[in-house]
Amino acid sequence: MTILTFILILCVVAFLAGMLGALTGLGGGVVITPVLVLLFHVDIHYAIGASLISVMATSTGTAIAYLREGYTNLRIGMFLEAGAVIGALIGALLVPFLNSSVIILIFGIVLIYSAYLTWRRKQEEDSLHSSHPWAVALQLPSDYPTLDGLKSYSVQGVPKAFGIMTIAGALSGLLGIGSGALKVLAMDHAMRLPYKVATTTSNFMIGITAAVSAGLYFSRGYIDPLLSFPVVLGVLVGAITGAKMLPHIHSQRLRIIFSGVVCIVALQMIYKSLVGF
Amino acid sequence: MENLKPFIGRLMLISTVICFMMVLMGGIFFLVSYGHDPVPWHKYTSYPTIPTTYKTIGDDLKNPTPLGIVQLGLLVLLLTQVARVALTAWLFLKARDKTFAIISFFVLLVLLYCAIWRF
Repeated sequence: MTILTFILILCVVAFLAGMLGALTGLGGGVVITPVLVLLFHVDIHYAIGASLISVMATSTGTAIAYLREGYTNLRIGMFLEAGAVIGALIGALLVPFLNSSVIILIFGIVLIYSAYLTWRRKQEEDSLHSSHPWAVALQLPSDYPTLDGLKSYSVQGVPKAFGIMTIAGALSGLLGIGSGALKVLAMDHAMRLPYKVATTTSNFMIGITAAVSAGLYFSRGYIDPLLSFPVVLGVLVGAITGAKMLPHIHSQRLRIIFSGVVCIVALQMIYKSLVGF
Repeated sequence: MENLKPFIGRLMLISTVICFMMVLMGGIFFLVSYGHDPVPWHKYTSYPTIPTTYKTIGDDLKNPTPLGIVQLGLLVLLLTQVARVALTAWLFLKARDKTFAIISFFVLLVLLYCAIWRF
């Protein structure tokens, strides 16, 4: 295969990954890593390097539109990101003491169950409840654009969401995967945010979380420019396209897309823990 | 808080354009010279031989290669993440929102350690 053919294929894959990442709040790594590893037999470290680049590109590309349109809740994003970085530091300390394939297996099963809950949960039925006292103190409740104009929402379960984010950070520090899925779940299940606020705020945060690991991958030479340049170009265009589509897609349809993608991530994890790719 | 968003949005827009143009330019130059060569698969199935540092990327600027320009574009993408946390922290501080200024500075410190100092 010539380099030109490979680059063109990767550009198309990255475009789809960016679009899916923008809509689900998961970043584009979910698609990039398995395509590089399973289809092109690229070493997992290079694939994760390209995946981190795709996550940062999705996060940056979507942030412009989501911030302007008013979906992203910056305060919730920063608050939960603090939990994620505390978790990442704990995860890094725990690395020598834990068996990563068992954790990946448990995490994979938890994700499948969470995907089921996300798929089953009905639309924003409890957004009119009063907010958690911590949410009020931190001024987390806000509003977001709907087809009927701006709509206010409350914020529940702040300590629970912070706990999930700490676990998400630790897992991403331990395994380098899956934090996007837990970010959306923390905001959707624990905080009971409107679904689009959860996915867009996750999109804002994942770039910051990916940058924590990307520095290390850069310095070890795993972020390769030949693999990364079609990824950046495709993902940026895909993410901007996805961000334009978001206001026109019904939240329930987004939940179904998210659940499907999370199931794929979970199956990848279970496969990884059993086979060790 | 709402008035913080346009500043961060503008930063993201500028850095996205810079990153995209650099990566596109480097990529096109590379494809013009090497597009018809076979993909060096062997390179991606073993450990990298040349570790990357800010210095090696900087050295490449003196005698730019297409993939060196791409690497610089990727670095812009990485540093954008640090810059947006720094800008958020600064804007919270300016708005006298102490709690969120502290939270943002904490995230910034960890990020600086992981993305730059360790790098």
